[in-house]
Amino acid sequence: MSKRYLIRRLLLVVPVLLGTILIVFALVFLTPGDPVNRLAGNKPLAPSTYNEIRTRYHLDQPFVVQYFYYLDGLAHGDLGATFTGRDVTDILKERFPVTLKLTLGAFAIEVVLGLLLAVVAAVKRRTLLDSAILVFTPVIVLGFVLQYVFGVKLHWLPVAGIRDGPSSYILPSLTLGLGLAASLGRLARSNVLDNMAGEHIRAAIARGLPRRRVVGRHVLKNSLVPIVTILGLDFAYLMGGAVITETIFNLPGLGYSLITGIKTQNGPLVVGLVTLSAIIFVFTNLFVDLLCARIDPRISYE
Amino acid sequence: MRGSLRVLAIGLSLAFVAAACSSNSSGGASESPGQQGGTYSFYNGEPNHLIPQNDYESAGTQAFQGLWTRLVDFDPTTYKPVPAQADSITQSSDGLTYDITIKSGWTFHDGTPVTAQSYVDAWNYAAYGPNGYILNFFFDKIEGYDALNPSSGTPKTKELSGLKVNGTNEFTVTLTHPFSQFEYTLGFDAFDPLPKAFFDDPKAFDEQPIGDGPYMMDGKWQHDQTINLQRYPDYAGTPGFADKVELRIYQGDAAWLDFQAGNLDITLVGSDHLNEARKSYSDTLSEEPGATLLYLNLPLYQPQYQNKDVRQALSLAIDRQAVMNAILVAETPADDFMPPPVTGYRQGACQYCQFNVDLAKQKLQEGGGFNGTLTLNFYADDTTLEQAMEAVANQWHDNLGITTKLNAIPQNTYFSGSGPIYTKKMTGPWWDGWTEDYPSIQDFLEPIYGANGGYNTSGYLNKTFDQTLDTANQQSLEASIPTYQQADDMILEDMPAIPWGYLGFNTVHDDNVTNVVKVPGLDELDLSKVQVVGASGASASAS
Repeated sequence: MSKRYLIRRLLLVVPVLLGTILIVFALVFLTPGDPVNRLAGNKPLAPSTYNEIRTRYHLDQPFVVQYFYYLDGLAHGDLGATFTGRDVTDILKERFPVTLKLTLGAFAIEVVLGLLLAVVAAVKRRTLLDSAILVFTPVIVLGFVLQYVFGVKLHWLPVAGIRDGPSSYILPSLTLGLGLAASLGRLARSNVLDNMAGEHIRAAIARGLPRRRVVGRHVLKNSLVPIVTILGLDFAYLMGGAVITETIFNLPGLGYSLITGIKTQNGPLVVGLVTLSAIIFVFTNLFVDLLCARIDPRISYE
Repeated sequence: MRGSLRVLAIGLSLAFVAAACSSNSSGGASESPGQQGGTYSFYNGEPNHLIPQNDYESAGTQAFQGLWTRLVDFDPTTYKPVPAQADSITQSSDGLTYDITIKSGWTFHDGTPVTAQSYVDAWNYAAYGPNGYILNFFFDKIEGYDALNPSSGTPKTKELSGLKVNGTNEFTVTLTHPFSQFEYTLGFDAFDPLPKAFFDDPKAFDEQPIGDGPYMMDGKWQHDQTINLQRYPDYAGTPGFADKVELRIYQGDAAWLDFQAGNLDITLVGSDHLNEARKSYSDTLSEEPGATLLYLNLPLYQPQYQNKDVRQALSLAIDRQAVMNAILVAETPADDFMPPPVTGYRQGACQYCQFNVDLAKQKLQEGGGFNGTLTLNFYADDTTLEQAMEAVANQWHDNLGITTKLNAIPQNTYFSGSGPIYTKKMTGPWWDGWTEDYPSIQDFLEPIYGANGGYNTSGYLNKTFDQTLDTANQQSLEASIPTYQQADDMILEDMPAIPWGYLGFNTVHDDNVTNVVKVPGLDELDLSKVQVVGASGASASAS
């Protein structure tokens, strides 16, 4: 892989971000409604107050002007402020660790459980276990069930907030992780099955190599490229903030902020969150592509 | 005024409400009253700000209830203002000037004294237009407001000419016009004092405000997580019972689950969980009418709604109680244009709020019938509300034979300045709500039905009504209430809107706490009255 390729990929980040920001900006700022009125329960404010707030956040300017104000700020590392005067950068810094912890928890469950399920299901094809992983549980249902069973009934684990430290993340991570593990499991299973049918595998088995070794070293390794790609996408998706899970479990992460931002039409906050998520997405993808090239030498980037 | 948003928020998730738990005496309540100590947690929303002059929703005012002591509180039976941080408030004979003396020896949580200057500085700051403070309009009755809020350009002065400091603990307020309810408004947080520290760095202050109330901040505001309070040891008023209070911030259903899981001591109960609460937590559930009137507003600018007989008929034809029993569980039927915890409210005053199909039919006939289709408007994405509106429309159809249509309007546009309410483009009755700023009958009349009312969106215009309000505004507080009631009588006859119900302030709590009571006249929990059961009583010598 060449340095040129890397530079080109990095340069591509710029148009992707500009485009993302423009689209989100348009979506947020062209939606009908008045975020300033909302600050006072939709009651008409004093004209002086109303005008002052609109001027302060450039809401009195045309859309295009607002967009350039935002880009100008961004060029200086300033993501702007919410309509209640908090720096968006501060909010992102505060929320990022919460979402990161949730992501790591969910991701660990996805990887370990997903791959385990895939291999077991593939090896024990057409058994009850095999069909079990094909069942997909929507996040929202799983979340409520886990809350009810482990929180309300058994009192084992916290159901809301992050004040209980690491244990606060167990149920939300499970909620997200189990769903992802199931979908990863299904994808990996068919991949593993394809590879199991390969002649080199049959040859290996025929030569009496232990089954565990065959599956681990040959089958799984050859199935890794699509799995890593999916995992990369899932990781980026998780880091964008799991909106539903964070809301159900009252976790003040990026997804929770996004919901608040959309509800209150807080443009700068929404744009900041989506921009961050776009950056994470672009870099995760880049990392995944590089990793795939490592795993499979046939993949090369000129 | 903040009514609309709060009603909207209730529809969305939890009611922003709490309650006077009448006589719960579970657990250790039999211990000596006044046992101090312990920690408890209570549900709260995420405020916009923790500066009293810059926040206009219940999440903020609940925090201010502990962090500040307002100039006045309200009497638990008459809801009239009683001095709190104020020592005395005297109105001049012409009604224009108020002489306010505050209690001496009070300090802010940073130890600096609370003086008349602390009030005047805070009010000037909030009234100064370029500061863009949300509660700026609360000061528009004070002389000199216009100079601080010119229609264009920068104000030439930063001080209200109507405020004068007369001594360490005394200042006078001069109004532009007499306003008999001014003392009520002083119970609102816009009129709280601010310490020097605020003016040095308002932004830092917002993260860890310094008030003069029974509780001080315990660390910084943890956004979307918690606002932690601890008892202020040098508080000059009646101290709070609990050592610490955690105002936990929730969004959506999480608070209810956390309460069920035993992790939250006190929470509010809205329509979505009230039936369950009545079943499972009946021993600690407290239900009380709050400070919100929910109503169906009417477009008097549309020909269909210009006849008062028709409006009376529409009101008479709906069985409020039936809809509330089935759907809007947290509400009680309205019987006046203002809720019970308000000075001037009269039980059963609204004769056209009763359910009387025969009279409704008769009135509709007298009014010449209803031509065309009736469109009932409400905001979208609230299934509970939608069901209720469907029921109302059905009743109009079944009881009066009117063809009805439902119209769900997106929430973003519903209350916006360019939306159908403010631009007077409503095609029929619409779901509306009004939460008081202060518990006076005037706050439910003038802003909504007065010719210059900030929320006169129905287009109601009645010169006699306006003149009566004018008279009442110029009377003494005591004399004004019967006069406002005369004005109320006029709209009870004219029915420019259809009173629907009162939103309950409902709380439940666990065994960890007792004495969970509401602040008289306001939809707030009295944070300093809650007692933690089995508290160590470290400061029990007080009892």
